[in-house]
Amino acid sequence: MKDNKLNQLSNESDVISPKLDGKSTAVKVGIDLGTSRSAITTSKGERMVMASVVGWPKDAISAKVFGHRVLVGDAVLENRMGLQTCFPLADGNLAFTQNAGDQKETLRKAGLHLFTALRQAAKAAEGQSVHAVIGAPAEATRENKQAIIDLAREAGIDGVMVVSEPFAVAYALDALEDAMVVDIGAGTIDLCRMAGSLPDAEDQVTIFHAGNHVDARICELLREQRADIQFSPNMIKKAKERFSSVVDTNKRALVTFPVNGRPTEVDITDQIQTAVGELVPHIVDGIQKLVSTFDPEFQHRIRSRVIVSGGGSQVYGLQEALEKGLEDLGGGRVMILDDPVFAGSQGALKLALEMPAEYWEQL
Amino acid sequence: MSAESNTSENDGKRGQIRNVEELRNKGIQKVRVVGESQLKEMAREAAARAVLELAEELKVSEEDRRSLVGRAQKQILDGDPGPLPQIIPSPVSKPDAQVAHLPDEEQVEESPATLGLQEQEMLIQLSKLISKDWRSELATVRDSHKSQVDRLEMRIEELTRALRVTDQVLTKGGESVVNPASKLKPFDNKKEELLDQLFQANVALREISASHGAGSLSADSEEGRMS
Repeated sequence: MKDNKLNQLSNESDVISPKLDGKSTAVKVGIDLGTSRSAITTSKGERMVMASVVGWPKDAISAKVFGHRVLVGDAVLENRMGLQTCFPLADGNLAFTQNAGDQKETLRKAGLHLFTALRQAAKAAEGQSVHAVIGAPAEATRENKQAIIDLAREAGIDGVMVVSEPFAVAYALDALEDAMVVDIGAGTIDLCRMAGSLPDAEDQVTIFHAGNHVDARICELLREQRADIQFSPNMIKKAKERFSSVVDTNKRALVTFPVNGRPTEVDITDQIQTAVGELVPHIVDGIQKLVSTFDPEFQHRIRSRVIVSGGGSQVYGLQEALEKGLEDLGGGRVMILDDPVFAGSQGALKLALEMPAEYWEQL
Repeated sequence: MSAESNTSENDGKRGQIRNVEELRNKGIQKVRVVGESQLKEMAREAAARAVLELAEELKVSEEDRRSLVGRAQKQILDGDPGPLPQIIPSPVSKPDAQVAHLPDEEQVEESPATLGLQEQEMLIQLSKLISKDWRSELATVRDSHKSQVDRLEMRIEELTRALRVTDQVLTKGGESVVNPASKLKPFDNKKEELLDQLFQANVALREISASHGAGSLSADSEEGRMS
């Protein structure tokens, strides 16, 4: 969002930057650290989403072509032929925490570059602090949360707090009680029930069958059924994002793939629908788990307010499919957010803004 | 030409005839076969009729209605709308012929306007179906727009609040932006509690990190879940 008024204010803020004195004038940011894409929303009214990927030029020639030693974000995907690419997050967690040796160090550096890019996206003036609330998967380990804090601080973010991603979404919507948030990402699907208090471990579920699994499944089905076509995972991901649906529609997923080097239009509607449809039972199971372990007197309340966010929420027909799945539990109401990509980062920003200043000072 | 004789005489239309036989095997005695071009013509007329019916419900001037119908027919039917069809108030119903006759394609194309009573009836049924379908489609679009407007209104409210807070942050330089006395809402006390719990959890995380070092935490990482 770049509202005119906000834009004007941020310019004014830039003008008076010499008066800034560190923490009291800190830029607050909310970050949704995603396996595939990371979103940032700032108190200056800026918001941005970037691919969570880092690339290094393969050789001196490509280094000269790109003019940078390291590239971060969508530029890496666009120029990946000349780059060594690295995704610093896997299944919602910083991947280096689960690796060893040289690979660990490479992944750690990639994570650091990603945080540095996010820090730059905050557009803080010189000498101005940045305070960030960062969303992590619902069931992220303590080790991973500590790694997030360490890397973020190393990247120059002065104050860091980590929060469960679905909780951030709930906070953005003021849905702090009688609600359930389902955040569908690439690495994980995070579910969290809100009962008016800070959600505990038993209030949250993380499902690892998420967007990346859907991509892999579509690739698998295509290899089985159309061995003649050539494709990359990135092509499949783009096709999925454009055509994903869990219901029969007249719209066909016609995608151009090379067949023996010749561009050919291929109908992959069935493969996408099958792979995406496999998500629904996992989500319904997760909801069932959180509902069935809740106070029986209030179970109907959280069933009646299931909020779905994240890039995966844009699957056509998902709302109806989930409501149908909830019929076995006595029915429920599902709401798909209209701005799912930034809901987490907006909630994190809201937390950062409403967090008392003395807390930030202590951090 | 009967269905039976067609089987032996015309191999090129075997698929069509087999379908007729299948229907007869299932006990359907009365079958009427309609030529493809005739069917297309009927569908075009039914769509034109449906457009007319829908247009009649609109509260607009006659000139606008005619212009609307003309454009709709041109776009939807993908061609010159031609003369508007006459709506028959009460079609006479007549049973189909006992034995199916495959109409000659050329004959049908030569005289597309000469439709029998059966075709007229089918035409009306078809136009009703199309009108019904369009009405339900319109209703779906209206509902979807309404829910979208509701969501956008909620979002505007949310953004307006966020803007107000951001405005204060930017003008007051990040100081505690809201006067506690002016922001009292039913949930605010609970929110303060939540923020405090979140802060304490992060402080605990930092303390553990500082005392143990990053490399020695994998053993208890599972129990370290928190919000």
